[in-house]
Amino acid sequence: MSGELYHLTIAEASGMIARKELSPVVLTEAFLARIEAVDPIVNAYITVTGERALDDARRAESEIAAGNYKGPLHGIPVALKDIYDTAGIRTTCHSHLHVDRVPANDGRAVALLRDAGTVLLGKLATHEFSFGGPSWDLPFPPARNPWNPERYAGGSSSGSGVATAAGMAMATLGSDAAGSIRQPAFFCGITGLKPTFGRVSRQGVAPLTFSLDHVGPMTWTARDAALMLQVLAGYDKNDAGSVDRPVPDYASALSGDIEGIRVGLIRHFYDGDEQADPEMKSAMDDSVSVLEGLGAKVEEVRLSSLHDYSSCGMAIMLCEALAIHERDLRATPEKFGNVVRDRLTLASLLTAADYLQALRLRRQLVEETGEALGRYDVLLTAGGYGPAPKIEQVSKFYLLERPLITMPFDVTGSPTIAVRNGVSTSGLPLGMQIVGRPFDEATVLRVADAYERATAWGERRPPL
Amino acid sequence: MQEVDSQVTEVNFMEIHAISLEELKARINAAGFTPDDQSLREMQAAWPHFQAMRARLRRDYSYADEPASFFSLESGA
Repeated sequence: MSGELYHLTIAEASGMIARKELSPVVLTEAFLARIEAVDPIVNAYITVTGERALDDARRAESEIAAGNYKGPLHGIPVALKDIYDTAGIRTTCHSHLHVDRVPANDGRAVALLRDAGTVLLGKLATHEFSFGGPSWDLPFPPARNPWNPERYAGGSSSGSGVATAAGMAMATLGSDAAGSIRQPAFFCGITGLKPTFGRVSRQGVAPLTFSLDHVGPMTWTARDAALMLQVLAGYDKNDAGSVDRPVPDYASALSGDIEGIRVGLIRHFYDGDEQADPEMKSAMDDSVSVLEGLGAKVEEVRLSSLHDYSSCGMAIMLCEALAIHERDLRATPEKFGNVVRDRLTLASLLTAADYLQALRLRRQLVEETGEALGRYDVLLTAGGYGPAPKIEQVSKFYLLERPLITMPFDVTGSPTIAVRNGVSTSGLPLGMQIVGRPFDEATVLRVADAYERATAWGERRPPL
Repeated sequence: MQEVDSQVTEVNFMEIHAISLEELKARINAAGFTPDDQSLREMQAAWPHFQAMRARLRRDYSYADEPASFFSLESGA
């Protein structure tokens, strides 16, 4: 257990809160002080809701004192990517277009966290509309990596990754259409869970795309992700993509036992189709050894090229994002940051046939991934190609220049978790992805949790 | 190594060419947008990647290869 309150995990803190050994008010004050001290360095927060947080904490404390303990998230300080609607609190999408927008209602995920008794610390930096960043012509600066503020934090859920890693929130919510939960989790050295498409409601979350957007938790551990997902998962008639499936007890799946689990290693994504850094490849080899040491059966599996998955997802994303923003882009292009504006302008040269060919390819890719997951309980691949680059070196069109290794599982909608699995020579985190069958987050979390228990990467925190 | 029976075939990238700034500007103007020269130059640099992405979408599909979009007649009933 960490010595600082702001570095406790949800699992650690919730036990102390339930036993009345830790006051939610004291815990919240520790996080607010941490935000005040550290955030000017890394720009994770757009809005800090200090008074709201203390009100939430006092309410939680009195409820628990009265014997009305709601569960593991009661009194836990959380923060939200600033695309989640929050009643009475501005929700900017990190854009001049929405800089003064104050929603009347909470989005579904926000309401679920509120009802579970969480404490809202504030709203977090993102790429503009989850799409354009890092960008310096927006109303707020881009978030910076807490391991080295000269480095990129990943995106688009940049602030969510930074805040979770740096002890500025015990858990955060992000969203993921091409890797926007898992990439910042990878670069910031945390755990990021992209649930199955349809598992968690997107109602009240500003969309980037219609068919690729996933919302999910970003935490320090897989166990904490399980505790968050337990509250977030479930059917919502107000989300057209929501699926009505039973929600299992995720925490009870975390047995630490993965003996006999079948793992399909997609090595060619990072050592073939693209070449990851040698230290990333080495970290993957070490991770395979750890999993085998825990009793997992690891074999290599070959899917279509990473470039095929990436092209498919990118074409869908560009078309759907343009459809969402086309009216504003034509009416007030100057209100967008140059990254979103130029990406969407180029997207205007895609055709309806391009979009439908991408959807035809998507069907084939979903089928082949499903076939692989018929043979294996989970798939495994790298979380990226190497540690975070310098923030100024991130190209406007990087999404087209090199495929995102996270994109395949947005195309397939598969539940996927990013887990840290090493440290680069430059002192920055490395990570991997574990992919499961549709709606089998329990197995994904079980493998991730077992790996985290067997390794010590979670003992390192950013040097802030 | 286990291999999944991929239905996805290889793509011929030979037809991917660079684009002149004038042609790109004309196409984007025709789409109703008027980016500045700096933005146009960045899009021009990205053009081969953009076209490679489009080329990978074209496959030897049959009439039966339908897109991954569907709706349920029961969902809104």
